[in-house]
Amino acid sequence: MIVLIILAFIIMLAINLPSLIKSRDYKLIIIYGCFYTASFALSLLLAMNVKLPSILEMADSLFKTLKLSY
Amino acid sequence: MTIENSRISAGQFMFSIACFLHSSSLLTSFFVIITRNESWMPFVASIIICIPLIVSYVLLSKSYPGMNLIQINEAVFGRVAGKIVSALYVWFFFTLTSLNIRDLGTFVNKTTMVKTPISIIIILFLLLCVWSAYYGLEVVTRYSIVFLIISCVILFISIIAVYDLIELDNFLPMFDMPLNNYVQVSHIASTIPFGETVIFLMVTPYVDNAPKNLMRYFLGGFLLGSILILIVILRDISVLGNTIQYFSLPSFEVFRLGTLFQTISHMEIMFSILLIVLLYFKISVLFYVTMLAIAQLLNIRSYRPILLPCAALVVVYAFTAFKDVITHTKTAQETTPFFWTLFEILLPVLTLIVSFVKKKAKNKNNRKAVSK
Repeated sequence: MIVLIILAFIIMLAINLPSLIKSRDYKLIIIYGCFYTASFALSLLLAMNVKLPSILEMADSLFKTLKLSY
Repeated sequence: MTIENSRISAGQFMFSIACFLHSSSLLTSFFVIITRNESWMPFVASIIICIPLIVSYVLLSKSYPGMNLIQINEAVFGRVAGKIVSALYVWFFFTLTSLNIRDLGTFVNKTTMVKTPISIIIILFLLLCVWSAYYGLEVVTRYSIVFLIISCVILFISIIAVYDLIELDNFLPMFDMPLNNYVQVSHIASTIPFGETVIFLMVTPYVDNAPKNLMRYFLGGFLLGSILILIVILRDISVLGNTIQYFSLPSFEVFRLGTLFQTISHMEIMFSILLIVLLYFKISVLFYVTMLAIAQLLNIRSYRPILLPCAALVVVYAFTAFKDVITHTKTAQETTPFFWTLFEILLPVLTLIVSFVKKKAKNKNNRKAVSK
């Protein structure tokens, strides 16, 4: 699974990077880099069965504490 | 800066809203457990409650012609506060996309492709959504009318197929539950399918003759979509009665029971195809809107280069949002209506009030300056 994810992200880079470099839009390149790194890191963690925190479950407990629930 | 160059007709906009809402018929399972055979009553109440909400969306869009929700936030709340509110909306759109793709994956995995891993189903569907979002709004919404016609035809066929099983007594008894149950279901229906139409505030600037026809087409799409879901609920209750609470997918069971001309039976595959098509449409619209909102918030020229990494994030989020379907359903019944109220009711209404007050103050100052 991890190998497949790495392969998928290499393909993703091969698709996007040439046009990004050609555009010389550095702001877009930085933003792309941030999204790419975040998604790659999180995908790898998920593939390695690391339990990622759920924002929605946290929000659910918060709302229940605030008594904003049925 | 214009990120989206294509435009859609007002009719396309209306059918997109209707199609978007109709795709939520899968989510009726969130509330039929609570009010069982009486679910249609709070559902009708929620349609009536949501009409002023839709009017407020239209008024907000009309106050700032040519601006989408992210641009409106900045114009109303200022640069910093506007960006914060917009970031909250981006998160909301992102969450909706992830939850719907997870719902679609679970549905396909449970009903049609049992042996295929859910991750493969989700990734393939999302790649299709990335493809349509790449070509822009016109492509995303192009087939809304076709999808809607197909779904209406299938709905009509399903009613004929289960005609012999319809029992009007299944609607009885009425008003047999505590008031709190009706309030809860009205709240769920108002926020989970209906309030989600707030996402269309992102595309209103790209609708032809938007300020003039917006009220008619936004409300038309809303009523068309909500009436279609109401017909689905009425059909399901009339066939299943009080047993509706035991099924996670009541419509699927109804299709399973239906027979046509005593030869065609087990028509649940029709329901599966219909729902996959409708959910594909909904997720495409949600994903496109999320990308548009991110590009607008970060002030970049195009959202196209970031489509694939964001799609990967959607997949990760879909898997981490809830550990299973039961938790998702339970949260959708208990806390999600309150949470979604913030994005679908409170923030848009607050934005409308602030913009109204700002405009009034500006007019007053102008009048003072003229009189001096």
